[in-house]
Amino acid sequence: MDKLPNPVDFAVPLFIVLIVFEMIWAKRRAPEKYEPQDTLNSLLFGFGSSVAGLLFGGMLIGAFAAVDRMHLVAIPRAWWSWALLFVLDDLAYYVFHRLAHRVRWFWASHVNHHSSQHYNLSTALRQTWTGVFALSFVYRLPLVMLGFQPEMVFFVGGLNLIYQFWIHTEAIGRMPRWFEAVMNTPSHHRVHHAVNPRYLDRNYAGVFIIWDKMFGSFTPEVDAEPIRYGIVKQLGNFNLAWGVFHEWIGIVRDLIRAPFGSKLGYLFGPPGWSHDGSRETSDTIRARWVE
Amino acid sequence: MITSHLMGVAGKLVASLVAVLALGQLARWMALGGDVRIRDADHARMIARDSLFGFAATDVALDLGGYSALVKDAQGRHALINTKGAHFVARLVKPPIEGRLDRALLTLDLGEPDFDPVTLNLGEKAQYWASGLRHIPSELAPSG
Repeated sequence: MDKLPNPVDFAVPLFIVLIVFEMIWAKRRAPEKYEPQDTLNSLLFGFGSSVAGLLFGGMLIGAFAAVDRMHLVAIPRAWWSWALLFVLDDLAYYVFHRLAHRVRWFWASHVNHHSSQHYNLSTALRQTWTGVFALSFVYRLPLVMLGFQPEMVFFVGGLNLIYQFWIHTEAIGRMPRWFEAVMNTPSHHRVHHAVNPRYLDRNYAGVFIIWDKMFGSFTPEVDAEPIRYGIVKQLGNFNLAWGVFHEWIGIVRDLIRAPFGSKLGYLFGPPGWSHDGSRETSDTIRARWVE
Repeated sequence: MITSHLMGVAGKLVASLVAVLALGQLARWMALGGDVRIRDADHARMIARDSLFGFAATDVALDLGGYSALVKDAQGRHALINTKGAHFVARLVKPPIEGRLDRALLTLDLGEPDFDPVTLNLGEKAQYWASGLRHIPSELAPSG
């Protein structure tokens, strides 16, 4: 079986060039769209994520190989199987991504990607260091179980990641209507990164926005309402280590302090859930806003 | 074979780190981020409302430099706003509070790991606000 390259390796130089272009755009149009320390942190998140990938990559390959031995049918490499895999992988990503926002254990890892108050191309590289603890690779295993070769799944996963890079920008307003109708775009993904109550926990799509439209999680961007980016409780400073681990630390603290019967809620409940109702979840914030 | 593979991986990591640091430095060199301050009381109210999802400030004390602010609502709740890069971060002030008043300078430490102590230059209002912070509703104290 031919070994496939990691497409992200080839895309990284393009990522760097596009970030420089966007910085020049920001310098001319809106200098506050970038902030040096925030940019450095986002990029260090990305660098650390690569290191974590190397450290835990063997574990992932082992898991994929184990599942591959139990695959249901042998799907060949053909144009139709690549196309089918790309679509199914994006559907699997949608499911995972939705869970990553609704289950605190998964959110503890994914929160890293959302913790910047800026929204620019460097934010796209703000990736988690702790994805392996949040089992963020598991959602692709059913594809291998189905019969897609692990190498193909890794490759398509890389393409999905590359697609999602360019949508992290405020430099692009709207794409043509037909494109906005089917694909995930900067406009749709700005909504996803927003903390305005109207936008909380919406637009989970990776490549195709149709999943959100099919499963009721789509909200369009409203031009009249300026977007505020980040997380419900914004990080107070630029401490990188705290930024990486803060939600995990919060989980441990809550597990220690919580009454016995409530402990699982702090692990598997939605972010912001508390046994005494003293905190707010996205749902409670939105409910108050609707009133 | 393994050695050359490891060398390749290490080379990629070093190149990535150099690119990361270079981009961070470029953003600094281009002076991106600008000089963001809290403009006035209305701006502080808006930040508190947006950051704390509906906090309706009735009283505002602005740091003279515009870097931070203290706001209070009708229930006597206080919130502290601080600049963070080109944005702002707000926190509800909950007892116990560690504060220090030095003439016009009021320093507050909320005891949160990611929220550094903030020193506000409140001019003549410092004493008034320091006094107000001693009477924050006790139900705001963190539970269990």
